[in-house]
Amino acid sequence: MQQIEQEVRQFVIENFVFGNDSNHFSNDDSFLEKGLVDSMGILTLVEFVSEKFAISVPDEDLIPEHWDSVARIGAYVQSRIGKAQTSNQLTTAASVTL
Amino acid sequence: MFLLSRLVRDSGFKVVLTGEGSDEFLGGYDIYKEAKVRAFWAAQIGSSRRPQLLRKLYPYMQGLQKQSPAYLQSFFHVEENASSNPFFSHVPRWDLTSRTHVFFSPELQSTWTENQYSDIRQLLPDNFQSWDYFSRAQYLESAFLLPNYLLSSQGDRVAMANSVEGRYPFLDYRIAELSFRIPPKLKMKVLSEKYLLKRAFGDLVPDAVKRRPKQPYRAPDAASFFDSNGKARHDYVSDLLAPERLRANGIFEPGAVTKLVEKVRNGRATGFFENASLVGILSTQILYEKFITNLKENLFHAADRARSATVCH
Repeated sequence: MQQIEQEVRQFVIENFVFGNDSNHFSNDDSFLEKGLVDSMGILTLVEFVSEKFAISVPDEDLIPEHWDSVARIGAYVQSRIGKAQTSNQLTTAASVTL
Repeated sequence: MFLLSRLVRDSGFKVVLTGEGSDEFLGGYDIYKEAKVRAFWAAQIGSSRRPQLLRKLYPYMQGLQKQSPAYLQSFFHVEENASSNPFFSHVPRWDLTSRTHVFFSPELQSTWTENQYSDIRQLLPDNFQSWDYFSRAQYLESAFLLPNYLLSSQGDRVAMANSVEGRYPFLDYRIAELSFRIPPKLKMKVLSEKYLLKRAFGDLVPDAVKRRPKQPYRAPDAASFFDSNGKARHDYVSDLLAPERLRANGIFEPGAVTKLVEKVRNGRATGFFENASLVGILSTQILYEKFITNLKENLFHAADRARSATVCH
């Protein structure tokens, strides 16, 4: 979890504040309230996270509840990785049965 | 506009009639439509259909098409009573642009005030707050963007650079006065822009012109300065954006700007924000060096500078 948050945080600092983290945002700070992201920013973030952690992000998950802070993204990624593994195991189990 | 006026001049024309003012006074701009859609959505925030109108308004903005209503609501400041904000129409754009402060040097950032709109508030008419949001939007466009920016930088200067004179029928004071007496709903009927103007003079304009969707005047920003290999198209671009030049002028934080330039070079600067930031930084650097650092050198030709000051008497 910490590892995920660290990677996301690094990405946000590089891409949204261009390394200029003088206001120092915390992992719980809202990107929207801090004015850190715009519409393209969200899409870049989603692209980065889904590639980096090899998860798929359905359109209906593009909501601030999942993406509006480093901590929220951490939790979301964790849950998606969990899901991916479960479904992989199911697939394996299914193919074994077959 | 500079290239266009050159073409006009090369075609043998010295004077052109041009439509500046009609969007401002007669309800032409997308920002008025945007305000209308936002107010409409805010009147029924739970609606699932109303946010669709925002996507339809900007079909060319990729980033908007995939956004969930929750994000659209936040980016477009759709909230109850939002239209009572005196700058309701312009807040989404101003907010987005104010993000550029991440590129300012620490010295400049320390002068940043929370109440960033206080300067413009003082320039507004006393009864401004009692106007409807559409009229307020028109005022902001007409008073602050039209005169010094559109008419000057984007109009007269670039036209005159090729000795072309613009004449502006919509800026006739009688047209302006009349237009301010027309109710907003006749200027823009539902989302049909310049409605009354089109009804009044539609028969003088070809259908193709009357019906075409409004296309904002947009130059490719970053792509004008960097080619697809990430190379600066002109030496002055890389010179002005070099860390030591940024540091010397003291306005921008070299580290942040370098990261932005890197993003542009890699073709990853796809959003409005990055593009606007790059052009803003570059323009500021030019202005600073021309009018602050090297004012004397730029103000006079070398021959004039050599002359004694006594010629001024």
